Amino acid sequence: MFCCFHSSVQTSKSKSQLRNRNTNCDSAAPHRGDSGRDGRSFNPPRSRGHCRGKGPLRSGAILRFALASNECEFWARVGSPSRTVYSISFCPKPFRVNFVMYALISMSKSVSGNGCDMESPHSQNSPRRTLSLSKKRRATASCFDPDEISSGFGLSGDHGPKPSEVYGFVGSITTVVATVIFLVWAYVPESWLQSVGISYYPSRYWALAVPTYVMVTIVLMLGFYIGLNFISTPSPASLNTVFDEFSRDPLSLECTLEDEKPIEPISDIGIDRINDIMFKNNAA
Amino acid sequence: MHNDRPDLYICTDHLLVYSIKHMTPSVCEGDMMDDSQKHRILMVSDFFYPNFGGVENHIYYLSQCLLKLGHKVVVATHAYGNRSGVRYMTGGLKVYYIPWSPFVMQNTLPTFYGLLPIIRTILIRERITVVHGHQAFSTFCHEALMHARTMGYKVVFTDHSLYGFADVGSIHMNKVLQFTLADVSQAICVSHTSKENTVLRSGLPPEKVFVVPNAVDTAIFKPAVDRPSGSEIVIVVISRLVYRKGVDLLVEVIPEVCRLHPNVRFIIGGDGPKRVRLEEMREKHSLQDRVEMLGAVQHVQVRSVLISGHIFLNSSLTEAFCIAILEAASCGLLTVSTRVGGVPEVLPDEMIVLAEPDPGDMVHAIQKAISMLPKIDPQAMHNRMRELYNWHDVAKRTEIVYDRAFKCSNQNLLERLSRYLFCGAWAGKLFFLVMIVGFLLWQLLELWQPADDIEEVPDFTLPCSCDEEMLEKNSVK
Repeated sequence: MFCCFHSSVQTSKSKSQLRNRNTNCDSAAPHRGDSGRDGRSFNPPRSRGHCRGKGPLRSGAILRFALASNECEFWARVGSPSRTVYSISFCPKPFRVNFVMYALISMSKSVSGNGCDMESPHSQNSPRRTLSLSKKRRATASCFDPDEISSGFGLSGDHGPKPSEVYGFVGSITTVVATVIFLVWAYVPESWLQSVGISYYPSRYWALAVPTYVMVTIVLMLGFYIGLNFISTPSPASLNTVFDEFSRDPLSLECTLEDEKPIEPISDIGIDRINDIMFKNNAA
Repeated sequence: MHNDRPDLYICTDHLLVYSIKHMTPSVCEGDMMDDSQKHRILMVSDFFYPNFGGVENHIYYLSQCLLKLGHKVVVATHAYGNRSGVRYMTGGLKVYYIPWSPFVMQNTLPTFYGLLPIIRTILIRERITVVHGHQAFSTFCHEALMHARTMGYKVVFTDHSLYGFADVGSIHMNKVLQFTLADVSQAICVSHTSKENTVLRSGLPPEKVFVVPNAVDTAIFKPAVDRPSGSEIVIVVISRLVYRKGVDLLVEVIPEVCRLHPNVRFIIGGDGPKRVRLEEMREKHSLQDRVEMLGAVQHVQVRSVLISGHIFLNSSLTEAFCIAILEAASCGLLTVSTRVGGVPEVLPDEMIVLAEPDPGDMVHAIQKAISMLPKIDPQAMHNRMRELYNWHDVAKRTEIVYDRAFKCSNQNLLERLSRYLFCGAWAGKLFFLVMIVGFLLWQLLELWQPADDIEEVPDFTLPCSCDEEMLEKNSVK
């Protein structure tokens, strides 16, 4: 299991570097699960639309001199070291440390970013608002950052890698670390742990119980699902086997003499016609 | 039959007998296919009518054109509410709505082996020769492809979407795709960008992946005879109002364009969870008279919406291909689109204005499109689209892929299992185990319900007078 996730991490790392083209591909996958939901709830959708088009390896924005209390400036400063860490491929530990730090900062930043959706007048200091195009917001942006307007709107994509990719990467690393810890806890003898100094840990019973509970739950879930499908099967005499609310009659084709004929729109052929075609011809 | 009974008590001999019996029909089928080149195709996906979308349209139009070429096409999908069982649709297209409840976003719960009995029955009843799966995140498709490969059928897979590489959902989805496509015969992608994406995600050899684009029915999407004239410029947006279609970009772009060009009006068709944001934008900027929202637009009504505009706006954040801009270009509309995924490959430069998925750049692109508008000839654009994108051409290219799949040599279980082992250090062993258990379950099904006992469906062809009879019936109504 350790090698599996490790190869997965290497694969995702190398594949993300190979993505030179502007293929922005964060479609809503149903298997994303909780992390997708967390990512969506923490980040305001408006800013995510801005950041989608830029690759993670794009060169950083020009750092502006402004007050240290400016959140946008703080964001840009913190973003640059994580981008430079990409090139240090021979030193994995600072890479992970910086990414964990960056993930925490992005989470706190996105929490404050949620204030944009509330549209309250007190959220004028939010960095997201300076990237807006509306007339009212541009007036407020000109008060705080006169340089913003001259540089145009290209800055919206220069905030580093996408948060969902950070979550994916941190998730992979966390899975590997958690797997190692679990295996150590489950298999290393107690005397070895005590000699190292680890004297308090959960009972070994759960190392067997939790995986067993998970496996039994999965098997029962599959069994119930297949059972539900059998229950929902209509009987052979049911009307729903031949007709339902989505059935469409064939539309009358327009008798046009044009050279190209359209593909007929989708419709149902009645079961009586099918029976005539299949079995009456055979009888004849 | 009496001679077969003693073999039931010797498992090894029985398996050998069954393997010999299984190999014989495939050889005969191969000979038949070489002579007539007629395939019997099973399309499998979670997405089909009554659901609407690009994958659904692709499966339907491709099936219709393959039926016109003389092949037999059967579609298998899960039940949609009351629509359950077997239906016959236009052109004699048979659709199996298997009673398998959708779990999340019209995807069924992955059960590994739950679909094996019914997929096996369909394959034998219809005498299928090629199984064609559609869409990477269709669990129904992945299970059907896995079982079809176990039973020795030729398998073709079409990928319709682009996926990332680094977020949690994509990491898991790419591993599943690597498993399912490890043993696929051929794969089809709808654009070169999509091919690059699929090859990187699944580890397929690139020579196995063909690029067959989507198409549009140009006979349906025709320009208006007289274009909407006047000083008003109408920009049309038709898409599902979800996040990945870039509705948040529209919320920023529409007020700015309305401010810069007082003669611009927007028509927005489609429904979805992001519709509320558009309504709020309209309320906030007092654009009720300039932004018209139609709600859900049926596919038969799309043309009448398109021909009422001059410019089509596509703000997707990710697209492997974009059928909507094909339909708009076929109706003679100039297209403004985000430069994402496979969109730059779709149209020539004089038909489309590309922009980065950024509100400022999109506003600039719309301004450029408005300046290009007087030079656009809708009828010339339509004739160009008729040559470029045609469903019959797509069907012919897909037929070539099927023929190529048949030229691939048949492989026994050991060769296929060694391929699964290469999927990863630990995942490969898990995939290996899954395939072994699948093979054993298939052998159990062969014992329990032999293939000879399953009744085959008689073949039929709709007579040519079917259209006339339908006309008579409708005239009576």
